[in-house]
Amino acid sequence: MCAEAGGPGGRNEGGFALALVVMLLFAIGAAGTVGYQIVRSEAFQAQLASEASQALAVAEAGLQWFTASQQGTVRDTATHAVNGGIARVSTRKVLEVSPHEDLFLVTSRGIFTDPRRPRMPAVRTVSQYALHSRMPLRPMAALVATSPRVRVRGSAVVDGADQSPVGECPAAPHPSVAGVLARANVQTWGGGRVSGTPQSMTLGSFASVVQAVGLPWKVLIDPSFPVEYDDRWPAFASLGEMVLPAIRVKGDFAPTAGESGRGLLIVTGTLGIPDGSQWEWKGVVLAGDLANVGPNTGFALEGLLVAGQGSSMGNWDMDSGRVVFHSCYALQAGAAVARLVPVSGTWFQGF
Amino acid sequence: MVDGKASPSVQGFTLLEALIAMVLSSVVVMLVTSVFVVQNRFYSQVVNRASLHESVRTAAALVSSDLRGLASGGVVAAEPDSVVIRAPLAMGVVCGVDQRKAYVFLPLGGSAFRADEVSGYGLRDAAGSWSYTSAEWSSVHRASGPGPAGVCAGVGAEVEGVSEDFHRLDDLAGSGALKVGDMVMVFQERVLKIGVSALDPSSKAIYRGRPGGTLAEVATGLSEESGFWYGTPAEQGLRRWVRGRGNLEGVNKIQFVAAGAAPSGRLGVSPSTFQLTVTVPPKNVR
Repeated sequence: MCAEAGGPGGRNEGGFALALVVMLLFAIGAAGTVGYQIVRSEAFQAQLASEASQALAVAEAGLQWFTASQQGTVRDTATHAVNGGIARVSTRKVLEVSPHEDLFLVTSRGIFTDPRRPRMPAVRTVSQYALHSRMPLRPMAALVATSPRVRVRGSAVVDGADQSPVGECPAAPHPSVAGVLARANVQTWGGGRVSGTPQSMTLGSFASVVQAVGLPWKVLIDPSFPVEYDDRWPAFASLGEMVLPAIRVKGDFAPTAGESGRGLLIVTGTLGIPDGSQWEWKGVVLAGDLANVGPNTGFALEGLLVAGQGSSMGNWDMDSGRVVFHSCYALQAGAAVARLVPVSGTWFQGF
Repeated sequence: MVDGKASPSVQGFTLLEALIAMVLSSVVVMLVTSVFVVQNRFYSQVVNRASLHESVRTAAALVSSDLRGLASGGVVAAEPDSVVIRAPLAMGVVCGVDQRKAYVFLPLGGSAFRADEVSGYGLRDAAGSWSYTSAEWSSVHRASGPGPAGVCAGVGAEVEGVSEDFHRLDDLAGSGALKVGDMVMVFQERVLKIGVSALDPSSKAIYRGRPGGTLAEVATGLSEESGFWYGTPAEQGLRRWVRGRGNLEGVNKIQFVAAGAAPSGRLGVSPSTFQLTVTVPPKNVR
């Protein structure tokens, strides 16, 4: 029997091609692995840079969302999910600018986490100062109308002296304001009384009056602007005594004694107080226009009445009723729609 | 014959077999080698491009980050290949004034803040414009903590737990006219410059640092096409800026073109280029 090298029945053909191929395949594999690692590392760097950009975008979006959506009392903190990340927004009051305005530093911390690396979130922080106005307007006068001529006659009374007693609310009483602010002419006739400091003011043009008052009328009447009671009436008896809600009435409104109440009342159309009405209101009334007030009403408004901010009013006469400035009611009513307004030029990226 | 027995039959390669084996082996080796070379070239190409992209991206991210927070008057000098800026480190608000002393809320970031990074401060007027003064932090900063915080608490500032963010700054320029509510900024003057790379003299790099100081090379591999472009509200489009031309106060847009080029390499790696353009409207410029 013949014994063949290489195993039973086989032949040793001693080739080198297989070994060479294996060796080259190993070399290619090794080079490929190194290449993959480098590309992966670069991709990782690019991913980190991208995540940092995302985190900055999240922080910025959080800042804008917070200031735009803020209404009423400023929250200390808020969290907002945006663009696949989370913005943690915090506020800090840094200054009381006036009895109605506070300056806040709003800081938004944007956190963007790649699900593959949950322990390595990208974080960026941006800040901006913002002014919080607790009143949606400047209290220039107890009664503001964009009429060329306002006549206060008969038993009508308009008074710009603050009726708030000391201590009822911060900074009360407010310095007296004007009785009436109109475009060109304020007259008192036949027993009508206007008082205040000054008694009345005129600013010449519709634009000047609107600018002086600073009321965001278009914002307030926009249906997308949220108010607590939109075209519906609150049950005041069930609300707390100190609750002054924001109410928006779409179109014209002719209030009666049964609709007496308190808060911020926005009438998008014409406010017409019917003859004989005993309507009473505590707070701020904003109206698109005013119908003349006849001689037989007993209406009383403590706070502020501002009308004709969307378009100029015609001449207006008030023959009865009472409008007196009350800073605390005005302040509490205005707080329902208080907004944060970013101070331009104060944005900075934090540490 | 050995010991009278037949020796085992050992068959060798015939010449023909050997030739066939050699030819086949050569073909296999050539195939494998060409695969290896192609793969290696591809790998080199990828590494080249990856490095190029990273350089360009780093440069663009860094420059846009520095430019984003600029306020009006924040551009000190503008040239096609460099820009000198006043980068805000923090912004604050005056909450008390006592003759030449100003009590300021200024969130400097606690331990992260380095006084030697400050080049000066800015004050914002009622119209929203900033006026800048060069000063060392130590020349104006007198105190931080409960003292200044107490003053600011008097005007409604929330100070609990953050008293280190309240400072007393003395002798600020125009301190006679300072009033509560005025905005204050501390800034660092910073140069962003495109120059020949010290690491790779065949390419350009972006340098960053303080004017007059040593600039750090922060991204290499840029090409001649890189540069800065500037825009103002008065002009359409963006333009290169030559020192002394135009009013830098008006710059409200800065574009940075980060262009990179990787040269051809070994194994026939082809050259590649990559360009990223970022246009930054500084957020604090109206």
